[in-house]
Amino acid sequence: MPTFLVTSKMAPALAARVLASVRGRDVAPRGRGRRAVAWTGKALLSLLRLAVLPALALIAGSVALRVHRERRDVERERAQILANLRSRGDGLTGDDKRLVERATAWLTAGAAAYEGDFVAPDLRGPGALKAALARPSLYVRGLVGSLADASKLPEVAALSYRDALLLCLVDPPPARTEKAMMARVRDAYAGGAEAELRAANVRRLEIALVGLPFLLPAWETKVQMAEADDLGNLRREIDRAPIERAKLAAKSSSLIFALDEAGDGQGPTEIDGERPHAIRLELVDLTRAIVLLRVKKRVDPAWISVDRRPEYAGKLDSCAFAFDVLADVARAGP
Amino acid sequence: MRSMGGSLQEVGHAVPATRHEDAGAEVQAEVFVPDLLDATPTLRIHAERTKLAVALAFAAGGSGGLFGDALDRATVPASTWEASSFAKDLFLQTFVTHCFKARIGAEQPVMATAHLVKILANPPADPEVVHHRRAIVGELVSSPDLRSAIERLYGSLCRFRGLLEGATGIGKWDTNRRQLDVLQVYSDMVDGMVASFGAAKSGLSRLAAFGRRVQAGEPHRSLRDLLRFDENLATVNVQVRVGAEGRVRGLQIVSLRENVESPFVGSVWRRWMAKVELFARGYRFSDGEVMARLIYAVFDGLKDEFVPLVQLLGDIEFYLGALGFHDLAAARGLPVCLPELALPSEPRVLLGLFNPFLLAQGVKVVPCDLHIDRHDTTVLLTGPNSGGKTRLLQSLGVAQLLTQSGVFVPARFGCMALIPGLVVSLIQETSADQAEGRLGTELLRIRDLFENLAPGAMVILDELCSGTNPSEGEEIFELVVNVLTRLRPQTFITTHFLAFAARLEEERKIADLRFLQVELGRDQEPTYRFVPGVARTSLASQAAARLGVTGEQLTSVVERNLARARFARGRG
Repeated sequence: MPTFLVTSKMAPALAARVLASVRGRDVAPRGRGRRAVAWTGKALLSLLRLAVLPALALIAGSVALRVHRERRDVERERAQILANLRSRGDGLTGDDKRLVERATAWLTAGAAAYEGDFVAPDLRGPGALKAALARPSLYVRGLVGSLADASKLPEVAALSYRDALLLCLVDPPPARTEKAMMARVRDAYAGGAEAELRAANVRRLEIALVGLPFLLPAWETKVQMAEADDLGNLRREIDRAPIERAKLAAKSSSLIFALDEAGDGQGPTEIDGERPHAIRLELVDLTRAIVLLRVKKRVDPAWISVDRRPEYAGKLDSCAFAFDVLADVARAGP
Repeated sequence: MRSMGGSLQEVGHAVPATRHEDAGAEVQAEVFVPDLLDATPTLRIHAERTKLAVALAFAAGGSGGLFGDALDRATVPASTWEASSFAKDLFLQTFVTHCFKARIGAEQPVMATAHLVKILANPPADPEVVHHRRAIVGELVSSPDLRSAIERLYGSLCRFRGLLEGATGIGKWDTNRRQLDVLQVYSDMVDGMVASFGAAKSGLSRLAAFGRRVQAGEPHRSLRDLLRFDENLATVNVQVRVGAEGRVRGLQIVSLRENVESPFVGSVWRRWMAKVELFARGYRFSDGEVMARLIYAVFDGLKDEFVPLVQLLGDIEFYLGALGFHDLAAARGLPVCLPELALPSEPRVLLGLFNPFLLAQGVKVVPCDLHIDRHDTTVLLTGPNSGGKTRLLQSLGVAQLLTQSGVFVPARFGCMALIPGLVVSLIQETSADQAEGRLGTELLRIRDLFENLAPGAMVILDELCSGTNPSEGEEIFELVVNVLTRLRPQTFITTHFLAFAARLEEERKIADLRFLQVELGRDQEPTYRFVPGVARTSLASQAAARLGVTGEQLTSVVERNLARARFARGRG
């Protein structure tokens, strides 16, 4: 068998020696049997090595194919995730997607020094406030100090639910009595369907905070840049995210937020933490970017019966605050 | 004594015998063995064994002693001399070690002494071989260029040996590099032989003829191609852009040209496939393995040519040793010469003869002149003790040996005959296990002499029959001399039987007997020169006085010892 080491330019004698050097020398030159054994050994070695080469090529090909397939699968999954995100973002405008950003600006401004009570002329008509509160809205409540810092907003929003203040505001109790307000308090306390029904148009700010970022370009970039191992995690995050509810929240045209000021020290603190303090309430028209209502009132749990005060002081105070705000706006007249 | 085994040996014998006078004819013939010692180019080392050793050394680079072993086992041109008859008494090993050593500039290379002793101990029987060597020695000493060339060639051979035997240690890290170096040195040597010895008239012209034959062969052309391939696979022209601050800003390959003329250069695809093929055949997958196969293929075509170089190293050492002796003597102001060759019936002349062992001892050397009317005669040497008789015998023996070996003799001028053998008896050793007494041992020595002595051989005897009483010793002495004359030997015998020698001189009963005595100066001190005649005294009293053995001196010593003993007893 010729060899690749021989070239056409070589002298025949040299070519023969090159071929001989490649073939190697017979280690057992005497005796046909030993020569045959040596030849068999060399042949086996060559066959083994010849077998190794395709095997190595097969392994390398398999690995390359596997890598190629994995890459293809990853890109496919990436494309699916991106398509999913884009489809789920359909119907939202840029403003909608930037709702959290706009709300944060209002919250930060509202947590600053109080600018005084204000009732927009739009609310002064009969049923105007009720109509305004019936629009799709976002709601959040927290301490003034916390909301003044935008970085704490996720933490505040996570602890802010549809509470008694909100329920009593959008669906006020028939009378400002402890018994009448306890019905709303219990609905708020229990949460669930009853609270959902009474304030179906109002979404928690936290839903928007958690869900809307998935629809922003930054998240799309994150998906595009993700390694194969991270892509699965991102997909699971997306699956768990409340994107549909966030989309609903993104369509909110109003922002309702309540800010609890620090206690004024003029009364004891109840077991549920309630104490005499001021509450600010602000209603913002996000569409037109104007304040519709800004109110600040002092609450004091002293009026609550001793039996309910330890457990419901804060909630009853909140409901009473909402009832009083509604009454004040109604009294304000056109 | 020539070995006959191996293909190279046969090739060597296939070359017609060459005569020194006919060097031109040899230039025309193809020389397979650059033999410098024999008139007929002969491979005197074992071809197959050496070739195997060379192949193993080339492959492994760790066979220290390859050259030494081969030379130790090498044969020498046929000789009728028996080394055991003279080598020990002439201190041949000492002579080679101290006087026959090469000097190349300031360097004094270590030579294969055993090989040189073997060559000198077996001087050639064929006068043509002697002429062949004398022509080479004569040309080397008369041509500084040739001497310089042979020294360069010897240096290259030493480097070749070092690389082949792995003495440099390079092969431990890079076998290919060591093998390429071996091949490079070999190629340079061959080219050097052709370039330097082309004009030589003597047997040195064999080197050029050998080189030319090797150069003309395909293996050597392939070797050159391989070495060029090693040096130049491709030429890349690169343009370097340097920034204002002096730093390299960019490199651009302007052109790339492969050495496509080389038979070893294939396409990139072919080179890659060669590696794959070697892997499949059981070799390593590397460029180095490809190069290793090519090196081996080239070496395979050359290894037959490597073998004679092993022998050549030993041959050159012989001539460098002779030149070293020439230089050593010249440095002491003692000229040496290639003696004229004469017939045994012609006069033996040695002018300015000196003892070469005295060169190494650093003592003052007094040359002497010797003129004897014919070679085939018996010379009786008489003279005082420490007069130089034994030194003269040594000088005569060494001079005869060197004449017979075709190299310089320790004399300013010489006229010497070639002889069939040499028997020297200068040392009278005793040993614990010797069966005979002094006389018995000497008689056995005489018996051995006659057992081994060829007609016409040279005999050198120091103080024959000195181990018994003079009257009986003289009887044996006369018997030996009488019988020796039947063999027409060239005999030199020293003796202190002065009366006996004087009687022989006076009676002239024994034909061809000559007498030489130590010359004495005005103050009766020996001059270390020799004149015809028989000495009248051995001057033993002078030697005794010089060594403190007179009656007065011995009495003084005894008196001193007695006084010392008395003093010791008094203190006790």
